[in-house]
Amino acid sequence: MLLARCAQGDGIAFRRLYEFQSATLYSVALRITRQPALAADAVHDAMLQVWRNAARFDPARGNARAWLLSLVRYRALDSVARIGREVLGAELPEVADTDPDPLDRLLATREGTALHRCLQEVEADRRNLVMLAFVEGLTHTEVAARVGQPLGSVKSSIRRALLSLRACLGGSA
Amino acid sequence: MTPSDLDDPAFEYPAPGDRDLDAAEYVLGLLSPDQARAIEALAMQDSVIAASIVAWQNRLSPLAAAVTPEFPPPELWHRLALATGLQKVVLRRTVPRRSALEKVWRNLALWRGATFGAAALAAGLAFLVLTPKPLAPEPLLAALSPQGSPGAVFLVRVGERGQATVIAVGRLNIPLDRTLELWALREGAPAPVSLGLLPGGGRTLLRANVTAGTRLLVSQEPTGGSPTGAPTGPVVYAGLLTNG
Repeated sequence: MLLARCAQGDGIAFRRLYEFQSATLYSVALRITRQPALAADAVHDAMLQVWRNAARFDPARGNARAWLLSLVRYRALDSVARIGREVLGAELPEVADTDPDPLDRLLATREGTALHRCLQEVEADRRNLVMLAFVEGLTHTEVAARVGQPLGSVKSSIRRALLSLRACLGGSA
Repeated sequence: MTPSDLDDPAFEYPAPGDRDLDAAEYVLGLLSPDQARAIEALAMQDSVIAASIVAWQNRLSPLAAAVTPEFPPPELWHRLALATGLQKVVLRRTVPRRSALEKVWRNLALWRGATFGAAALAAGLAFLVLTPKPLAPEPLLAALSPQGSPGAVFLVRVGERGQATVIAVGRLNIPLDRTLELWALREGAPAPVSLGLLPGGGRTLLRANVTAGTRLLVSQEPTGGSPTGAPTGPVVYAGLLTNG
């Protein structure tokens, strides 16, 4: 377990963790912040927190990958909330997803396959709202503006999708 | 619920008192900064909310795979190495692994050689004896292993003129509809370059324009390999090429 080795100050374990996770973490942060410098800062700060606090991670409470990803996402969301997306100016071109269905990439892992199956049970419109929120890091208000729907129906659609996901995935995953 | 919600005739708020769903909205990033800080403060005192947050992080994190991977600028690792004081530590500690790798490679080569019969082996040895040693540059070696486990799954040897041999030595765990693709990420390069597809076993010969210090990555791709020329799936194995 790389995190346990990081907790013991093992630099090679830390380097390997970076090697495996940095592309995923950076691309997630980049889609949220739309600014390479802010995305790099989010990954930097989260990885540094991992290096310093790896001992605090409790494997009984879930997987390390989810923890690390969440650290990066919260940092990216924070910087967007502080600085804002509009003010940044350097809007990235809409990322061209050559994959016909990016969700198919979830099938590469066991947890991803389970989530993919459960997402298929959610109505397509609602599923897209959840994806918008996760991938772009949009708030309720921003999602509503993006899809041109009233705030209330966006909120209730997403909540229904979450209810369905929880019922399908169960427990504490 | 905000006043504007009430103007919407279609509005019907599901499970209003369900704080586990509030936690899910927090994890997705849907809440305003004020609402998010309120949930965070609550989670500090209420272990049920804290557990809800962790559970939703676990449930939703696989969604990260839907984002096309993009490699961070190389400076990011240098910044992190500086902040953690790891620059020298990592370099120094990778050196002893080289001798272990060489040993494994020699054993593998001998074991394979034996199957060609003694004559072929003898011819090979004669060739070795006749080849002046200083002219033969050290091959580059790498062991590729999965995250979180030291066990190698592929061994890679890159000899003269970039002839690379990849041998599968460990058990692979890939879905049937996925292919493994090998990538080289040269030091300081912004993005990895594909070296080719890897079958699930045996030996693969490839051409690789690499140097010591190049990182080799193996990603899971759709059948036929990455459609974009860059990794589109998760990196499942990785290792560093060294020349001693």
